[in-house]
Amino acid sequence: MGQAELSKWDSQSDEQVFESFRKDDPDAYRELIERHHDDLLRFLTRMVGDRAAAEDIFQETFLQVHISAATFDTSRRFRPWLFTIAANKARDMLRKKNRRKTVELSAPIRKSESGASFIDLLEVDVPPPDEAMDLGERDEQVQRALDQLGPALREVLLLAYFQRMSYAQIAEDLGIPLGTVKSRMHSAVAAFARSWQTVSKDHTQNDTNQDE
Amino acid sequence: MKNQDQSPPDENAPKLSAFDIEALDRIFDDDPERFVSESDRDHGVLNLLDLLGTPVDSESQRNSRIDLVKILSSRLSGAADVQDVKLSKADQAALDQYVKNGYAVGGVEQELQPRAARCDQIANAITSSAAKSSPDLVMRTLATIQTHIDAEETAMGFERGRGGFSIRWSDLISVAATLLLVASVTLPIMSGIRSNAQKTQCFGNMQAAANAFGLYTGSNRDMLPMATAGLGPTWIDVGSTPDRSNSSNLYTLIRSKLANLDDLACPSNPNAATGPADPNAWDWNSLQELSYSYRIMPPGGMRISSAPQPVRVVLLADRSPVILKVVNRQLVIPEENSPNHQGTGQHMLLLDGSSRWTRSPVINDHDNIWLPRPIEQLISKERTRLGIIKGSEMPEGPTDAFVGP
Repeated sequence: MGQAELSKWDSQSDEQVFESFRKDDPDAYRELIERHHDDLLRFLTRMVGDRAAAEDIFQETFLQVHISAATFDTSRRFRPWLFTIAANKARDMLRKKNRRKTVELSAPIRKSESGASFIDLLEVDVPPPDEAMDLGERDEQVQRALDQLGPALREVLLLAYFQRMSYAQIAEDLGIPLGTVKSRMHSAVAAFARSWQTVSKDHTQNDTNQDE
Repeated sequence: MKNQDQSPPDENAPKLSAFDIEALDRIFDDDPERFVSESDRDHGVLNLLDLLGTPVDSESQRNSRIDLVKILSSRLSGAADVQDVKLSKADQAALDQYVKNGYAVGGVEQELQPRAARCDQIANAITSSAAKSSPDLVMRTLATIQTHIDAEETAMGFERGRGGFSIRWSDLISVAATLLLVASVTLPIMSGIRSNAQKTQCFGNMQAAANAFGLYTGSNRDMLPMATAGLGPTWIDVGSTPDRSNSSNLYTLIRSKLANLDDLACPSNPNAATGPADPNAWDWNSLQELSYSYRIMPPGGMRISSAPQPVRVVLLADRSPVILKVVNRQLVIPEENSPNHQGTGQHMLLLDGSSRWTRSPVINDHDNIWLPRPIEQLISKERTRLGIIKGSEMPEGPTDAFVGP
């Protein structure tokens, strides 16, 4: 059963809808939640690696937006503000969770190498396009690969890719120097590619073992 | 060191208590730099385990403990290893150009495009997800906010009633001014959130009603719920007898136990009947208790298959403002929205089982759902707005949207 919404919001920007919410339009807040539901939930799930926790943070984020509504500067964009609040909440949650972090002993050990190694994207596998792999399976593997990254790299990678922001915008949002954003982004993509290699290799090995 | 990839987990291996795990995690998470080398780290954890007093009775247990420590250490080193990888210079340039071009491969230098395409593949895999969205997350979010608002309102009320310290008049005046200012900013927001939560719940009611209608028609040869063979001279007399009240037709869903009173109670109607239904009841007690208006049933009832365009037939809607005003002998405004949602619009359940929210009662080529077409035509000529509905009118045909009490 679908809800065919005859919406007056279609032509309005997030910032305009948010302003309507502040002026007591009873539909505006729901519109904002619905508008960002899919993307924000995906972002949070990727960030914390746990769907139930992501849903909790999703609710906390919109509660925080509601509480801070009066302080929002409408000359700024709404979506980066929303995602920054969500990222902060996710970071807090991860910090608490990390105290009780479980180590996956069954995963392979990588011996530390002396100094940093370089990765060439043309020589390694990256997640294949949608049609080349079962989506659920790829989703799970992508999450496992992301989980191997430290929170700082994961955050910059997700903020960049989900929001399609420039390095300068990310630097402003996270309050870190532009150069740091750039180097973190380079490291994040490299780390993800390396991590994907390991995860997909494990997956292939498991499949082979099961076949035997 | 034993390769744990080749060894199945030993179920008899010593297990750490939650407290021990917490202590271990604290060492590595909060201050990983304090252990200079892998060997120091191993010793640190080993000593810690000894201090914590898990007994070691044999050499083999001692060895398995050493293995455990090494595995933990290696895992932690492994996590650090991932962060040490760097992109090749060409990949760095490709990524920078890809980001600069708004995450599009097209604008990247020709020779770097294959590398940018790899970055794009990673982006797509990360941002797309096979996970389904949660249909009720929006509702739960609104409910969370509502709970917060209610708690704040309660706390504010409690604070107001509390005494015990002396204040000067000037303090009191400035506090009052601040409270007024805060209230003027936050109260509209709070009321907006509350009405949204109510609207969401009301939409849930429409879905429950759709299920009930589906079950009813499925076991009644496609006939929509009817309480009698046909309505008598009027259908506006809620709480009288089934032949005089169209709402008793809707109440059939409750008598059949396919819906309960709560399913058909809009949270914005303060007088809505809720709780367990009287098993002998045939109808709501009064128009005020009723939250939704049901399509006026013609004599002999109506089959769902009789409408050529089910998507154009309104089966149920938030209660009609026109009927309320007629009964209360007030001025009727045909284009008015239902009072259920502060006059902002109304939910409608259509015969095809879908529901929608509209901000006007006029749908489908100027069809007003509160009125039968002859009266709509009359109004368009006369614009007479007083005493228009007598409570005996019928829909002109299957495509005439017309709901009653």
